Amino acid sequence: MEDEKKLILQSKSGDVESFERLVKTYQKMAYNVAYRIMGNEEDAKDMTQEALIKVYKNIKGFRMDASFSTWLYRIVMNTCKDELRKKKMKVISIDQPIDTGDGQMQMDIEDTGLHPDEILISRETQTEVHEALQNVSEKNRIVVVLRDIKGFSYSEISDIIDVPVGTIKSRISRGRQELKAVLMNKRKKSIRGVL
Amino acid sequence: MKCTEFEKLVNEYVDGELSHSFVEIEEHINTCTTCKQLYEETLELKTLLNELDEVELPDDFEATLHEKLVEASKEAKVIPFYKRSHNLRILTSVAAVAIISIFAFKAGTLVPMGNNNAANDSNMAVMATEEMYSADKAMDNSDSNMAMNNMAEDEESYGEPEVALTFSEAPMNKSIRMEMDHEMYAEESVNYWLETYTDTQQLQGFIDLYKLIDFNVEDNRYTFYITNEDYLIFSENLQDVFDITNEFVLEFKTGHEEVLNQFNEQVKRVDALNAQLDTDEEEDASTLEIEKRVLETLNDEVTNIENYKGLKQITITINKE
Repeated sequence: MEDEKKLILQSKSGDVESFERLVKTYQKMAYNVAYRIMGNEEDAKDMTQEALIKVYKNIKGFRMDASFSTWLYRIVMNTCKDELRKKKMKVISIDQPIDTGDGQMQMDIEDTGLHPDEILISRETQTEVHEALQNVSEKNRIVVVLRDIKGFSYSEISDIIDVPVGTIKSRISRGRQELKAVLMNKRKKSIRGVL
Repeated sequence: MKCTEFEKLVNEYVDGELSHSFVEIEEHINTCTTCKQLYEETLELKTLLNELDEVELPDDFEATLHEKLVEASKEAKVIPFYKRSHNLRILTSVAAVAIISIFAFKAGTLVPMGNNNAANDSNMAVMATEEMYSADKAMDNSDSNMAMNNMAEDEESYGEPEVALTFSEAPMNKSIRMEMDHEMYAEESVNYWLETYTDTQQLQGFIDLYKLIDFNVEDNRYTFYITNEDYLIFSENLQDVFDITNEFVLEFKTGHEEVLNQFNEQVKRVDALNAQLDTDEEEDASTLEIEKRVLETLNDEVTNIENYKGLKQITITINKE
């Protein structure tokens, strides 16, 4: 982290090369997080770059005793959120309505559950999971991505999106429920004649 | 442990964030098949996500980023703060609870009025026209520029555009709405102003302009520098209104104490490190180097403050939700 402090200081003076070295350790993961939240690579690229430019422009005001990672991701998240708002992305509802208000799920399909042995991390599954993730409502999706894609702790997530840990917990719970519902729904549909 | 409690805790458990002891949960998993399934499913979902391939950056990512950075670096010129004015894009409002709109327009011959007349003039040279503010929430940069330019043409140019401060008669209804966009950052040269208006409609003619010398954006903190006279008027007229609303938290700080405190603390830290420095310890030496650099940065900030002598610093913190 010593090197990072030096790079930050140099970036504060506007040095582009130092800044590029500074963010090199963050950019790929930030891109991945943006990708899983926005759903497509083009948006992910735009959001990531836009966020990094903001980081560059505002780094003068960055306090050295703060966490650079948290601050960077905060900006990435805000950028994504704003873009999503602009796009007015809606959760695409599949046949069954999923009421995540109190965690109950209304599904009149049989709850066959997800069995570990059914899940293969194939290319198809990856696409499936990625698309299912896009159907998770925005607030929940963001938290799930930060937790399971990036690996931030609850308290780190709380810092980044400025939301209490209790709320984080419930969003993760609901996000996973939504994900499960979407996946199971798809499987149910595609199970006919496939297996 | 009951199943309902298990359901509440299973995610935390799977994420390793459980503050309870594991024993109860693990016992429950072993004894309750439904919950065991829930546990396995939760773990499975987590695994599915964890095992998604990391996607590579696009080939041109670094190149295009570089171009944008270079462009951004050119925009930031080193100009003495008290002479600099900034450009802000007009941004769509984001915060659900907000009161003061900060609009920014490209510099034109905007409000060429002297400071002294400020307090007495109720109708500003710059009158917000309805067309400018009709797109209340989403303002397009080009539209407002056009509007500004139209207005500017009508005004006599006095040279250096100084935004004057004025306070019109305080509106009867003091409920205020504020909009602020956390994305704001400085670009080129602008003038900006604060505006208050009632909940239901924007009051024409009630335009309050402040001379803002500079601003910084850090998270949700907006720092302005204004003259003492301006500050008196600002605080008189708006302070009590801010107290009315509980919708957001507004920290109304003045002074540069914070930075000065940081600076003083850093001086102490560096001195302490110096004193206990064992030159054989490489680590000590490089830590000291780092802390010295931090001190330099703080020193710069303190120096900037010197530039703001005679001005008041105001920090507004907006907490959403």
